Amino acid sequence: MTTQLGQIVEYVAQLSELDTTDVEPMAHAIELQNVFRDDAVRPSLDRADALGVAPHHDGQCYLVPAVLGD
Amino acid sequence: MLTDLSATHLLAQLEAGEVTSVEVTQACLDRIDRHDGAMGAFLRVNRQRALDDALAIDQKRRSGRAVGRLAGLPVAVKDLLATRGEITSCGSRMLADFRPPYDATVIARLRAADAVFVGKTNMDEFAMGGSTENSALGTTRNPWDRTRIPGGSSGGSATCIAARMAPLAIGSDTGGSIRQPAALCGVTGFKPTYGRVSRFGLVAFASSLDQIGPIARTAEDAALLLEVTAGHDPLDATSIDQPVPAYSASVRQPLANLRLGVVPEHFDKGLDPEVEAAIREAIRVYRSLGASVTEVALPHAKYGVAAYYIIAPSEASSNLARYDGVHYGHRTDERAMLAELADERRALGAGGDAVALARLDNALVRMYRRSRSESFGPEVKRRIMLGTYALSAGYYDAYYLKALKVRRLIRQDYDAAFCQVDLIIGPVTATPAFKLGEKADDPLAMYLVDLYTVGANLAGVPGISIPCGTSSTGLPIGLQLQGPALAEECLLRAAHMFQQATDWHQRRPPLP
Repeated sequence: MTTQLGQIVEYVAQLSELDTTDVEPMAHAIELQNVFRDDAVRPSLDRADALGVAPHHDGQCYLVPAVLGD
Repeated sequence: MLTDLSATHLLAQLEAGEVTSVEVTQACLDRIDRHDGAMGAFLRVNRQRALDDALAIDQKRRSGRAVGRLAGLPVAVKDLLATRGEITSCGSRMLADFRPPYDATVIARLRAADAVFVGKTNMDEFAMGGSTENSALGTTRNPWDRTRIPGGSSGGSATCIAARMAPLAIGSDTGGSIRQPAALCGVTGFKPTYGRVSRFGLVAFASSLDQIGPIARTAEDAALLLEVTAGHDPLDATSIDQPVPAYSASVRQPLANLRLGVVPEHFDKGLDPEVEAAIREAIRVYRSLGASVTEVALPHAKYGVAAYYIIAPSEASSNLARYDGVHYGHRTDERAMLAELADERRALGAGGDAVALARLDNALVRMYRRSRSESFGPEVKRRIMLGTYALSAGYYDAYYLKALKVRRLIRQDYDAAFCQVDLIIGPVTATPAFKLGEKADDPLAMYLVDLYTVGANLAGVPGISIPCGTSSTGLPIGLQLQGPALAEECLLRAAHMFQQATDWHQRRPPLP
């Protein structure tokens, strides 16, 4: 894996050949302005449905291994 | 045979009452039963549900009620679109049992159009790959030669179309994942403009590049499926808010005075001579149909793969951070994890190594670690590592930001080219389908397969792959047409013109 990652990093480093001074980075394929919607309450996923796909829950919250102390 | 008919043809027969959806669906299921054991196109086939839905649609149609645009047509879906209550695995052990609580917008639109879902198709894990070999859940084979890959990442969808197991399929394309398997399986695959089809409910790989599109046997069929799935969606803020043209009506109108651009670098060394001959012959066909052909330059195209393999893994590393074993997806066995951690703590305590003891994972971190390392495959891990590296402090400017600037240069090349020509014509892949396992140990070689396709994703423009020949060993060769943003109609019409003049798209793989 290390050798493969090395080869890939070496390959992508060829971008340094290009002079990109004064080129604006392009983060997205279509450059949208902010897209807003009304700040209105809408129906959303039911809690039981959302929790239902979790590996471990108590019907109210997701459950994870204890983090603080033993 | 029903399964040999195009979706457009089947729909006309369904509408005329000459055939029922149950008959069409049953024909597809029989075909799947007969061939999919060897092909592996599907991860799951829902026979009874498909037949029940088909029957309900037949009854709706017979009763004279209004039916949807695809009423009764079987559709196969790449297993990365959320389907309510049904497993959506993304080809990963991480999501092997995941049943989303909602439908993707594309699924909802297909349901509203009265399509019949026959099953979910195999794919490279999280759509990362070009051969479908990275699927954690099964092997898909090329119907033209079972020892070869079907392409990827939408390999299952392309295979099921080529093998006539369904008339229509949905794929997704982040760097070529619709066009490349379509080319290698001898079918028609269309990546629309970024934002033309809602990504809501698509399992995210690289959000600024991902786009959903149709895989079918003809441009007409692709037009029909795109028409139903495209359009603005309030649930995807990046979806384009523009009306959807009637692609399925306009596709049959030939284009007069079509201006095609050829990129000389496409024909540099590395392009297989048989592929080159097929592409040149396709250009000749277009000339004979009245198109003019001129050379255009895409001077930064050769940097596309390098920019792509920084941008896509960077976005992937961020997107895949959500798989934490908490909200959904695989979680490690907690009892074993806690026992392991206790053993390590005891051993370090006994050895008196206070530093290592202080650094030992807490239980939550160890749960994240084990859940992720157990259920992501090697290619997914590789891309997460590449992405986090490219985004890390100290490397961000040199890699990620640099790649975004090169992306702009690539986009500007396309903009300049499309001032001179309507469409760019060229290859999809440098070679026909390679052997299973051939590039398995060489990820860089696998990445270079994307050379001709990543440009359209980086620039956000549409591209279509259509069959244009076969190699001396009988493997399909694909032709790529790329257009400016929102040139879907032009691309589909140009593809249809070619399919009226040639019969490559009618060829069938040698299945028993």
